[in-house]
Amino acid sequence: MRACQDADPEAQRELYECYKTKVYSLAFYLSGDAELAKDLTQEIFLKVFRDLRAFRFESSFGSWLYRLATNTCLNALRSRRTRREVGIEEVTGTAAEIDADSLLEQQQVDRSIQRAVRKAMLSLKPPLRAVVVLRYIENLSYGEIAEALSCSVGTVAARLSRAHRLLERKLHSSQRAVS
Amino acid sequence: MNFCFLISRRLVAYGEGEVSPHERAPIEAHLEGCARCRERVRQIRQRTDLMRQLPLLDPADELWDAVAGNLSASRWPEPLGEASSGRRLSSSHQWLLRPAAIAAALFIIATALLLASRSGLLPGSHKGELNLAGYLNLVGTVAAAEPALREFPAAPGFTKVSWTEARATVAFPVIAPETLPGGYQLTAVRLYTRGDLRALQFKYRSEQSALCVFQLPSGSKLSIGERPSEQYQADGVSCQRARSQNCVLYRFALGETQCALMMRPTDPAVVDALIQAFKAEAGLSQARSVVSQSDTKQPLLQPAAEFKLPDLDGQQVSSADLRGSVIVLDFWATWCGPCLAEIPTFNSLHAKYAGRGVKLIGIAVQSGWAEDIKPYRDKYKVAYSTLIGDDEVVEKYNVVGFPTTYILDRDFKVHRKFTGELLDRKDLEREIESLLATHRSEPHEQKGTPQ
Repeated sequence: MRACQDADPEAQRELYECYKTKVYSLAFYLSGDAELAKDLTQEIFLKVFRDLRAFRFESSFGSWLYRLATNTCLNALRSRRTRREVGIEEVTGTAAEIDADSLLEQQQVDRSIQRAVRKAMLSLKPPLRAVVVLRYIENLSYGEIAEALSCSVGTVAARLSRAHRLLERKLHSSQRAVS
Repeated sequence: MNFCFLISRRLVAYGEGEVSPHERAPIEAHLEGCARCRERVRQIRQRTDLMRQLPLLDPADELWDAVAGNLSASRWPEPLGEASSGRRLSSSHQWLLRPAAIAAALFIIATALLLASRSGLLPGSHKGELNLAGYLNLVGTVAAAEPALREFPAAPGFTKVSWTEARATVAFPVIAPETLPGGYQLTAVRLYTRGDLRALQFKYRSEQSALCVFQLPSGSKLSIGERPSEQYQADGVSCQRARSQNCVLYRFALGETQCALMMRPTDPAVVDALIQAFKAEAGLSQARSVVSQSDTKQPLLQPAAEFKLPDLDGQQVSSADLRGSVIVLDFWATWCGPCLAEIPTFNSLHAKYAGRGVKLIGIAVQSGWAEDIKPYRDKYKVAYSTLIGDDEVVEKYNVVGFPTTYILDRDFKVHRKFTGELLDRKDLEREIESLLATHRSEPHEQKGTPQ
């Protein structure tokens, strides 16, 4: 980390490899758009390497990274509100995923459910979606989410509860269709 | 029941083991006797498990090259926020040092901009200049790591936009065929806005490779750096060719539009065919422009694909039945928020034009069967016909995102395609009015003029 602060290219690459999956997954599930997720991941890491020099290890690096990443994604989504378009693959899965679907019937059902879940998550407003993604995709604790979103643990719990109520409605019809 | 209401907000936290012991006891006591809340907890846990099963995803390998390329091309200013020096100055000293700090900041920003303009994509010191030198190097680096060059790295400063927005934003004729020789399909449009400069990047992809084209007005300066370039002739179009490692750029002008085609080095015949395709499209653009100015008729329309689809009552509707009317085809899905948001607009258009020979048809795709779609039709009070689309019609109409709206003329030929949510319904009205004003037997231009 110290080497990254000195802009050591190898250390930067190592840090990127270490966190790329988490950052890209966060961007993908928050934006629902693979191409935008790539752009956001790039932007987030550029900000990380730029701002890392000012990081003084007074908080955990993970929390700092998640705060920066979530804010970057939410800001981008906010600015894109005026030009909304939903790509087909956002909710149906990529061609590779669809090919994989045909392997086994059970896998196919699992994929259908996953798609329905992803679709339902995408229907949430970005601030609620952020809590859900941080909790269930990134596996953060309530405390870590609170730190990443600069809010209280109580707020995190309230947002998760609200998100579940909305997801329940969205998933109800999908699950009925799958079963 | 009151207690159900009180604990309902804590059931998620309870289901995830995030409540304190003294809070857990009364919740568990309540759950003992309340089957409904027990069921809710079960569902919460089931949903949680489903979400936890969603996979973490890795970005494409070339993304690091894009990050590294930008890192080396950038000269970041000192970060704001936490100070890097250990000792804080008193407020009086800060006040004294403020002018010096401002001067230093201005110097750093000016230096960074100068460096970026020389090596990166940022416009140079001249107003209205786009510098592609840095991006050419970056693509070359990515191409070295990825022989097929399936994906171009994000060009700094460009943001993804819909076709509608791209056309509405730029003032020069856009020359972007949806397909190019070699099986290339247009996959993304990106917009660059800085000061008065507006430029577009079109990304194309084939099964084997990818390429991109930048376009900007002929009056704006397009720089490819200080690298040596050479003259190149392609189908009568004079080009300037510049290379980086594993990437080549062809700069050429077509009418009022400057273009820069960027791709891996390839057979000259392929390059000729590509530039020829742009030249042909430019001819169409010019023709469209002339048509709009002088009402000269230009027979260049392409027929729309035929289809036969069921409506929500199970009746088959054939495209042949629609001939003779101006058609607005809206490809939508029940899970697509922007599509649902557009329905009131289409309802009002239907009310306004139904009596004037305009048929508005919604084609719901990837939305299940009639019984799945009907609740949405009822909820949003869809006043026009809804057909149940299939993958075939999606493919035939090249629908790559929702909503997508086609306007077809009375001869069932494509007049205009909109992708993404309509920002202004007047765009649609203008196109409909232009078709209504045109006599049936007269041919029309292929697409709307992007003005």
